[in-house]
Amino acid sequence: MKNERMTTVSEYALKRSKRIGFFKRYGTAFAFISPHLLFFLAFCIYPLIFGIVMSLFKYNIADPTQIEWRGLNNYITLLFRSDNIYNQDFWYAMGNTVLFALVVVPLSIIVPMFMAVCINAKPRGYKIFRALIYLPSVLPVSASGIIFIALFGHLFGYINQWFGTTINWLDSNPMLAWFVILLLCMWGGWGGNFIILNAALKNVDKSLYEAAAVDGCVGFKRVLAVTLPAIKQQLILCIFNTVIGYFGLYGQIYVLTNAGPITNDTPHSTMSVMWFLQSLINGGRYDIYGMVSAMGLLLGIIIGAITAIQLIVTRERKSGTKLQTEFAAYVKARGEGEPVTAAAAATPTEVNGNE
Amino acid sequence: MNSLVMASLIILVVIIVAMIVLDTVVLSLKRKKVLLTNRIGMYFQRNLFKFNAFVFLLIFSIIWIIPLVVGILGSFTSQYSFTYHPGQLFPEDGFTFDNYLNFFNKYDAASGARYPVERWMLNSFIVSAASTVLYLLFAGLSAYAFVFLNFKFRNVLFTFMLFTMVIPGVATMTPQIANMANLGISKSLLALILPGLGGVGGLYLIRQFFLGIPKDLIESAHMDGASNLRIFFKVVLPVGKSVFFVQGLFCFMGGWNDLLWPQVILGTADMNLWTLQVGIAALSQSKTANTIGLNLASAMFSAVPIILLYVFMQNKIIEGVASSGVKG
Repeated sequence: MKNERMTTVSEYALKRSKRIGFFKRYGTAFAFISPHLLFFLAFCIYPLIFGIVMSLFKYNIADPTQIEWRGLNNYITLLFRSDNIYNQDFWYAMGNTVLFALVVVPLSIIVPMFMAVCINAKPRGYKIFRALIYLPSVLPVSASGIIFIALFGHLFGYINQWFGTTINWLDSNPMLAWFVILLLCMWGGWGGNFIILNAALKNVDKSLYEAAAVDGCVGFKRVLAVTLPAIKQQLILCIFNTVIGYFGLYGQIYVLTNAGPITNDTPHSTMSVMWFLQSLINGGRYDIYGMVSAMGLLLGIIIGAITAIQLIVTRERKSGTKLQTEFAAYVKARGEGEPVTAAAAATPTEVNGNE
Repeated sequence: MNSLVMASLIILVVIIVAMIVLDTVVLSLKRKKVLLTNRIGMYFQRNLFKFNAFVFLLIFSIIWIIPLVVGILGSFTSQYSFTYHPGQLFPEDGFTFDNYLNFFNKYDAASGARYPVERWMLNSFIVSAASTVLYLLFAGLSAYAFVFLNFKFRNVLFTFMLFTMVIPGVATMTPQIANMANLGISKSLLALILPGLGGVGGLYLIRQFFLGIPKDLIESAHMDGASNLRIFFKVVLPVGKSVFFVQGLFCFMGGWNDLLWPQVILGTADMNLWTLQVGIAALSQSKTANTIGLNLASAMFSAVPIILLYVFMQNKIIEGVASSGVKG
């Protein structure tokens, strides 16, 4: 009897201590992550699921009870019905966005790269130059847009006055308007790339250059063989960040042209996808949210595909190093006494060369 | 053509030609293996690229800063100058504060109501400050748990969170608006503060920094009987000051500069709810000579806090951007 009671107490004590342990361990952790996790679930995960569901309906935001099942019709309209106004506008805006990205992305990599190389030579006062070059990138886009409107205005703009021309930059020819948008994107857009590339260049191992010089590899050849591989990661990061950023091009267009100028073909000749979505959302029609979220998801899928390509490209390098470490472990496991065959010895250098 | 512009263009061409001549001379001497012995010659032979980079950066920086100079000087130029003597950086009738005064006394053409500029500023400040403080607190606590506390599925959860960063904000924008409407906050400032609090990017940055804090520090604090919350505030926060500072700067600048989301949420709402960026973008829609000065004043007004922040925190900001690239 006594014995039985003892076990019960000890069992109870064990159970209780376990429970306390559980709360002490997981309770604190849960309390610590829950505020962030709550917002994460409510504003990152839920909208995604909600958006997928919404794109299958005709959704009215003014009265969410009035929903109408559409199935995949929203997507079919967007992808295949070229006589539909939403389809036409969406793909027109998408074409604009892609073409603009094709022009602006290479410029947003090459120019900052060049500036980063110049800064990396560490001329006198390079920190001041670096700060000045990055400065426009921290400005709000509405402010820099207003400055560019003042610069490129038609009759009273500074540029026209300085050079004695009367070009109507923003309101006559779409190509001129695109040019000003490009200039604004350059002025306020690539500062981050410039800083990242500059940091990457600074971190390149100096001994690599010396080794290359000993091997007679100088000038442009050295840039290709040593510098570019060393900063490859940051370069890829910059390229894809920029691509993703310009797929969401909005502020520059909204402030500078508000998707004008009006041409014979379209009233919104400089329309980007984001501007189009925004105009639909603010347009006063409440029953098109299903269609708009289908558009958003389509754009998201395109951007997601680009990001996936980025992940694949970056993983290649990681698998290279993984292979290398695996091979090193393999060689080590075979024992030091045993001679390494020529073919096996060649592999790590090959992997090195690929990097 | 303006004579000042003419002169600066000529100077520019002269400098470029001089640089090309200098480069060819120095390079040809180098090719002939002639070593210059005087001080200037030695300097150029050793530091030719450095010197080129200096001249190039100097010219580039001056051109680069012109729009900002135009913005600042233009905001002090009177409406009279803009109409009758446009294109002058230093107007004949001197500088004036009129544009700034007009900015605070501007009336909407349609409704006749005054633009509540000070409300916009207050709103912008509330949104950026609140989202910064709350995000730092929540993400900091979460990062602490992810690094220093052991729980089931810790790494699975974090990897999942990282993967969701791939989903572009574009895809979830429309449902986010409906989400706000369903929560009943679609026409309030909460709609600008809350969605950002779930972001993973800052959490990742803070977690990366926490991983570098030695575990012994936390262990010894535990030994002394400190609770986790106490350790977070007394040990981890002071040690991780720099990363919180950088992340806070990014949050604040992002909140202050954001245009798209406030525009979408509050663009059709009451003017009293707008943020500074939304209001200024709305003001800038008129592009006549009458409003250039006023628009520039409003632009400078929204840019000055950021510029000041940048001038004083320049090193921190640049370091932060640079470290955000190293993670990739």
